[in-house]
Amino acid sequence: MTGRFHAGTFEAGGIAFTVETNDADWAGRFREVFRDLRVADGRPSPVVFEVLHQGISATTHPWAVWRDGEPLEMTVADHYILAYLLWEVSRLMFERTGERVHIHGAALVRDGRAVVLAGRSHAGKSTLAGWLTYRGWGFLTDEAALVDPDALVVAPFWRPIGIRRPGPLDCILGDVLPEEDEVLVPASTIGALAPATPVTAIAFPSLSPNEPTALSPLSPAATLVELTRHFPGLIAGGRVGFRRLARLVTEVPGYMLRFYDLDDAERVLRELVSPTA
Amino acid sequence: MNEDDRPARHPAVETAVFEPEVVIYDDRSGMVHHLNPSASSIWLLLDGRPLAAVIDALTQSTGMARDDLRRDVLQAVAELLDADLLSA
Repeated sequence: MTGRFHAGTFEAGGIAFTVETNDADWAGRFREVFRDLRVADGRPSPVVFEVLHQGISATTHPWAVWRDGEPLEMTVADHYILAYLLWEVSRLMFERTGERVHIHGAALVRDGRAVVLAGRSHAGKSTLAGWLTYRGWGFLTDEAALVDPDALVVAPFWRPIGIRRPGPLDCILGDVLPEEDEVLVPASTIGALAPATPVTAIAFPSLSPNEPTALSPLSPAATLVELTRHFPGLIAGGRVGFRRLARLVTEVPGYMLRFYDLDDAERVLRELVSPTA
Repeated sequence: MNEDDRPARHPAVETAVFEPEVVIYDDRSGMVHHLNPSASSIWLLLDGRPLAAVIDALTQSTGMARDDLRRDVLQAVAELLDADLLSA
């Protein structure tokens, strides 16, 4: 089917955006994947992502993507277009972060307290974020935590959770094609979304198959050093960004979280945020 | 490097103090360095005063032998210079 199809309006960290495409099926997929970011239409001047299929002659990398008329990427494969668009949406938000700090990590809420799970790829952040959401924690974000270092609040960015397969979360996924090795799952399909929440702790998870689950406190200096490794805006933000991170670790404690069993990890994090902790 | 030298923290380097450690950020390279407590106490005194004054100050505050501190300070300053974190 040809023509122009619209998905949105969506919002990422307070920035409205829409997706326009020439494929009706894919418009539906964009609406589904970004469903938790949906807001009422009528926002002034939303950013427009055009995601256009370039026809049957472009067989392996048929998609081209523009943002407000500016070309971003002209050769994107079918299996990557959702992840790519999500990355561009996150980038858009980070460009307009303002005074907030954005950390490469997830954020979850229990008892009105947020924990940021910061770390590099394959550290188990998204798996843990999905599992905590499934176990009743409120979902703030995955991969892109926006923290106000003065108010000490994590803003919601309800982007879909990227879940790798096969993996421990297979049991909570719905219909998934067997060849898909990573799926983007709207958090609202497995649990509850959380509003902006005060941050109680920053944890750096690492998958450790042969060791017991353990949460070890870090000094503020060590927390700052770890955070700078997961702060994509450090170079762009320069010393101002560094100062913001330093303010954050002065107020919020950091921990290393070694885990493999998801229920064990959930237990130690629940104890961490417990009002009686 | 001798006790008359007056190294100072480079103006492009930002310091975050978390007693007894400091973390420093080099705005030119984006590099972050985590200094141990003794290097941190030396770093915070590198404000352009002579190294002799740095050593004296640390001798007073720590009670350690001056010769031992002199060796530590000169070594630390050499490493900080190598990392391009000081204006010599």
